[in-house]
Amino acid sequence: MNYNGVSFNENWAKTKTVEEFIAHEGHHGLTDKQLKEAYYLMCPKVKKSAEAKEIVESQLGSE
Amino acid sequence: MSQHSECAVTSANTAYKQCGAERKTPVQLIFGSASFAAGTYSTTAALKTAIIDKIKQAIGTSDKLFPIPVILDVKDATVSAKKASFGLGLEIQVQRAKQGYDFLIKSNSDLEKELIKFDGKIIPTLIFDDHNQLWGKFDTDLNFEGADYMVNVTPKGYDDGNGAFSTMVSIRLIDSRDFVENAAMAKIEFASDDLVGLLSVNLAYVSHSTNVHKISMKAAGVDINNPYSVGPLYGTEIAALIANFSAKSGAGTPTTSLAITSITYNSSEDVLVVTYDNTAYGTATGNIKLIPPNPTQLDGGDVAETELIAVTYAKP
Repeated sequence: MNYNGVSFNENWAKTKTVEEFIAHEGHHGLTDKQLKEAYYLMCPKVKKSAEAKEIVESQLGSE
Repeated sequence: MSQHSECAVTSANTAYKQCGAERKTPVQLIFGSASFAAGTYSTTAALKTAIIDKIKQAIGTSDKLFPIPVILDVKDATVSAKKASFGLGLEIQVQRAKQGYDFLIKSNSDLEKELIKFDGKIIPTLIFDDHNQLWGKFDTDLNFEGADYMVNVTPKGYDDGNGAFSTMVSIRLIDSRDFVENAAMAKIEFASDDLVGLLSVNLAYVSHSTNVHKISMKAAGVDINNPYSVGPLYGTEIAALIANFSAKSGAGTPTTSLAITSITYNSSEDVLVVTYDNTAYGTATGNIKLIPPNPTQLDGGDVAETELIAVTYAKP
């Protein structure tokens, strides 16, 4: 993914925490905030919806 | 009484096809061992696409095609058929003509360094003429391909202030049958930038700060002070192709995967800045090999007519 002129390896980023990513890629001149944004563009946070939680819980309950 | 010859049985019908093809003035040569099956050349569009794809292949690919720059002048160097006569006068042909041509092409000393690699070799050659006809031959399986020619390259000398001079590429036909019996032609309308060779661009290590390495992208030439860098034109586009880059580490020819985590183009220094995974880099020993995108991948990333050459360097 290209972010502000830097091409990041998405597959590699997905194996790292945001803190590890920021520490590793800090030399590009991007701020921590920008690096954090770049990281989450590649590795978006997944929120569990209430509906999904219900489905999972109901399936677990039927076992 | 009519005269009969048993030879006449084996002769051919001789109708003249008014729309039949004939060779016109050559405008470009294409060297290389690509062969196109009937399924490909059955449509002009498919054959055109296949030819362009072969041009975009990397050096070392067995069926890569090499388009030679546009022809400026043609001289027929065909060796005439040889004749001999019996003592009582009957003259017979003892050897068929062997076609040959000397082409002056648009070139320079940089390109001659590449062209000379074809010198003295027998190379399948397709010839594109000024009527959009691509001439080659059929093999025994009716695949369309270049006919075999001996190639020689004569570099341009110094000008003398009078004549117009350029690099000469000479071709001499190996088998006379490829010019007649096996001859084949495809009519293709190439765009002006379709038949263009790739520029070899060498990646080279420049400097580093721990696992962050600076890499140049230059085409070597005769001008020792000004090697041509593709960075200003394509640096950003090349960096964007990070998914097509890879790296390895190890002694000799590196084989251990070394992850690249980011690439950027530094325009002020005209270098790629390649960051390797710091953990893998810390344990890496010996050499590092940086493998760039292939020409097709580069073309897909808007880096036209370029082949980046992989670099292996000692881990600094």
